[in-house]
Amino acid sequence: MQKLFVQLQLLATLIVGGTEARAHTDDGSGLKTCVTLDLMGSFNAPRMTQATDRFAVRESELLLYGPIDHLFDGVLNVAAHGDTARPLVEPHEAYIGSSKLIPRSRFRLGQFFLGLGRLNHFHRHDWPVVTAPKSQLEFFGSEGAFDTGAEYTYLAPLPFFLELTAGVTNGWTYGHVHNAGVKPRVPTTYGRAATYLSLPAGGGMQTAVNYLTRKSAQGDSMTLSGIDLTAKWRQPDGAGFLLQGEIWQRQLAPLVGKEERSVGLYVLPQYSFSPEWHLGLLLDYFTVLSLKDISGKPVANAEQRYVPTLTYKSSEFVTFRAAFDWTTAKQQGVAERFSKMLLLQAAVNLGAHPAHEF
Amino acid sequence: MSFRTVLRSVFALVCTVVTTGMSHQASAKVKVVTTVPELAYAAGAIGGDLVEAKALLRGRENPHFVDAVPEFTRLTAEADVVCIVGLDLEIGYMPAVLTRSGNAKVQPGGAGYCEAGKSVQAIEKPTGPIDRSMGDVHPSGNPHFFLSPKALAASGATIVAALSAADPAHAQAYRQGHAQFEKAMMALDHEIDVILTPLKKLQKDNGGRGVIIEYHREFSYFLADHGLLSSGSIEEKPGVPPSAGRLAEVALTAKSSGVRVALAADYFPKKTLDRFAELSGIPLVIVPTMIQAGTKTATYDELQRHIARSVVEATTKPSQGH
Repeated sequence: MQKLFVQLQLLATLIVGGTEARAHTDDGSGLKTCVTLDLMGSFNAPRMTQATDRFAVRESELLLYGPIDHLFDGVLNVAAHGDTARPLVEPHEAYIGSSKLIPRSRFRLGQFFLGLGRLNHFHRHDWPVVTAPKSQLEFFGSEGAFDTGAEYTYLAPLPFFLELTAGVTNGWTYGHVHNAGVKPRVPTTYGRAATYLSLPAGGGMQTAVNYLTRKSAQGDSMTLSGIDLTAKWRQPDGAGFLLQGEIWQRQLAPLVGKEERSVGLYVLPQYSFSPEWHLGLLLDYFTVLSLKDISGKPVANAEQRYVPTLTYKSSEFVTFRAAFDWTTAKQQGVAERFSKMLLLQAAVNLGAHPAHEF
Repeated sequence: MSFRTVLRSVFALVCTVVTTGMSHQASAKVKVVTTVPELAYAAGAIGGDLVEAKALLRGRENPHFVDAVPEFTRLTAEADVVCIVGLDLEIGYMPAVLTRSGNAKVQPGGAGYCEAGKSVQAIEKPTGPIDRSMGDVHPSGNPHFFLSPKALAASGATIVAALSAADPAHAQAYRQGHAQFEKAMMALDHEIDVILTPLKKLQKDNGGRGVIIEYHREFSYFLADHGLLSSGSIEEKPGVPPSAGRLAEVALTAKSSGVRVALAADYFPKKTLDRFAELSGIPLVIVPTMIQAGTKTATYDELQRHIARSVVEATTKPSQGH
């Protein structure tokens, strides 16, 4: 209890400090503050799921960002989690970066969400879904993979958009874990190449190929490769359509034991009736390709989720979401498992939210 | 061939393409990228053959809600000058575009960063404390100055400064270009003033009260240029769609105060506007508020004439009455 009190006190101090900092924006420092509250609940009637049956704060975040000097920018993002076994306050992002030192380039040094895929680029409260697709959950963690290191992005001088990203991070931990980890044999290294294509009727599509590799202290190697796609059509009156998807393959090669290969993909078509109302359907699929029975024969298995999601945004700062999560898990020789639950989310941003990416 | 091999091949291909692309030659002209088409028009008019101006928006978007499209980033990366409206109009997307471009000279503080609104006398600047409960309020004033030829000419001073910084050898030519642009804008303003004469008479007949209501306050500069008063907005709060109650209330008020026309940009919800027209009996004029290539408002002059004539025509039609 005392620990919780200390953590809440820390967050309160940061928030108060942030408020003061925002008030000081007029002094020319340019420091901006954003506080995000993300509340979530999962409910189920026929007790067949891990639903919590309560609506509670999933996380509250304090984001401070702004120019440090004429060359560098800084970001600090601290999150207080309410969905962990014990309440936890941790820095999600703490880095300096610049887009002014090297032409057509930007880089960041410090702790950050790895610049891979689609969802991993955004904080969870900015996702178009309530909970992570299975591939995101398994390969990056429920909120996304972050680590400390360096990331460099280069925009190629071509008559079309081509952005290349390379990163290397400590790799002591991977994903979203709450311990110091162990020094790996090979740190986490990753790359991404993204391009963009204009589409008819005012649309546009960004696609990217991604690759990540890491070898743990025990010599277990992991490679992740994937493709992400985001297509948007936005009508002048606010109606629009979003098509977002990712497909990932993970290969785990332990020093001792069998290799594991998994594939996960999701597709999210979402129609916007207006700037306020959006209806989406998350189609999520995950399978372990290398699963075998004791005789060495492949075992068919798959987990599928269908999550229709209704979103209401009174403005870009307030999001209410209701979703119905219907999951089935099949495995050859095992009875099929079903899970149904209602998901509710409310996310609000107070203060200066940074400009949105595509 | 495994998935991993395919990815490696793609990376190798990408590297080859990038290396080849290094020979991409820069143009001798000053490359100007602007957000709205009006600023590209102004930069082109001021710089003439010395500049190559391109707008990121096509004129059909709601300029308040634009995505940071990767193509914007690519164009910005190649620009010598980036000109935005400012007054927080592009705050939702341009900071991300500018940062991702990795182009130091066009980012805030750089010589090629041009915030055109800085040389415009902004109107409707809120007084007293403001916060988000008041809607999408622009603390530095109304950003829709580019619909006023006079204000657009004034914004040219900032454009000249940015062009001169990027290309000092032709600073004099840019100043001359600006002087000519100002003259052209004054002539256009006079032409529009003549077209709008019937509205001035209507306003006079209405006891000096405004006869035009806006959906959103984006015609304020345009109307002010010609001595026309705005009777306010259909929106109760900027950027917030009016409720049914607000629509009924504002329709009643507008009708009783002698409003003769409701003016709206072509990107606002048609249903809401139709409902207002239905409730009030006031004719609705929906017009583009930005230059749109390939349409009857493909130039700034055509856009101005179209808006002015549309409003005048609507007021000369017999009242629908309800």
